[in-house]
Amino acid sequence: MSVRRSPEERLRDANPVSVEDMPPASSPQGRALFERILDSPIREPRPARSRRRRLALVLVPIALAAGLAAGYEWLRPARNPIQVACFDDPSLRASREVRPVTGADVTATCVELWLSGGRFAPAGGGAVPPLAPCILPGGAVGVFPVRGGADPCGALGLAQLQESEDPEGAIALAELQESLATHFVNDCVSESDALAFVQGELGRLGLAPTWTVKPLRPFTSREPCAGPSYDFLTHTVLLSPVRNTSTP
Amino acid sequence: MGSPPDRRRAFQSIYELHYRHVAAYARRRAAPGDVDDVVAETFLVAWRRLEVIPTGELALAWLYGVARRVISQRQRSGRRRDRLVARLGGLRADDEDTAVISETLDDRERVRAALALLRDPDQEILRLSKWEGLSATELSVVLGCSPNAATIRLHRAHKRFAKALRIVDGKAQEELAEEEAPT
Repeated sequence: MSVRRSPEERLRDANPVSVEDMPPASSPQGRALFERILDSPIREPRPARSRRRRLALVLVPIALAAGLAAGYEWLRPARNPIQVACFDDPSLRASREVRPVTGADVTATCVELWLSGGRFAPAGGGAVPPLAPCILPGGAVGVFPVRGGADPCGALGLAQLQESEDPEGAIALAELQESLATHFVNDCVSESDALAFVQGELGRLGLAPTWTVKPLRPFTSREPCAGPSYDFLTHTVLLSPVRNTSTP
Repeated sequence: MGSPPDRRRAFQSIYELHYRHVAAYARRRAAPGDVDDVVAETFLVAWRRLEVIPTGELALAWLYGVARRVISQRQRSGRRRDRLVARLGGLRADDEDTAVISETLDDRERVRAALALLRDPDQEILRLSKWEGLSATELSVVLGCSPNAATIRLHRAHKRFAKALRIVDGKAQEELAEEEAPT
């Protein structure tokens, strides 16, 4: 009797679709889609992102500084990143490589690049420099080398990655930041759609009603697209109006 | 990613390797009319964000994460709500092999009913683990958490699913007993 099988077995057997049932990429359908994608323009997200970064560079430090003064525990930012950007210099414009985090130590993810023959030390080089993890604008984590003992996070106006005393909250917040970064990076999202999307995500991740969302200032026809930033003091996702750079 | 030919080759490699898996993922969760759109949107995002796709086996997990968001956004927008399969996704009349014995079908329905009792995140992590066969590290990429957190979430989801299944099985037995009881 099938009921006696373990729940895991029963769930596995309930898989409605086998990969083998799917047409391969070489099928007419697969090839047609491939060509269609290659024909589509690669919209460069960098201009929009850099503008958002500039906004976030202003907003995030203000929010963080205010929060630190108030001693809010919620200032402790994302601590469970799924990817980390390893920089070869303490600059946001430095060469970087995005790598998946597979261990608990975020900085260890970047060490390999600094070892002899690694991307950041192709000619051998010296010792691995001290590395510091910072919260990039938008919520991702960047790991920078420490030069001359100067804190790269502070020098770049970024928050340091710290341990959280609220793991579940931090996980949810990290997931929110990742979700919003993905959602807003390529497309121009209107104010109303952005509000609805963020509210939905806050609900899905259990961050509502502690966290809310609101526009930073009125949206205009010149700046119709939403860019998210975070006010950790008031637990608010701020939607900043930015220009539409996704259309030619 | 280098020159356009390099970019194209890199994307082609990912596409050819993972197309069927992404299609299967979409088909398990979306209505037939939406599957092609979900696959297309997923790979379009991959084409545009090629530089941030992890290398190796984690690339597929990254694609699942994108597909998950594509489907989620469609559900939220409501534009195609009537065409989406309920969250469990998947068991549709045209999928069923009529030769399968009824006992198996009943069990699938019970599994589906048990899944539906769980919260969406629990449903999704269970499907990703058992249907897509993802490891803890891969789950962490899809769900945006650490591998440790993914392991804990999966463990908890398993426990809740087992409990839900016991409830459903209990109900099924009650219904069977009622049907068999003399009137």
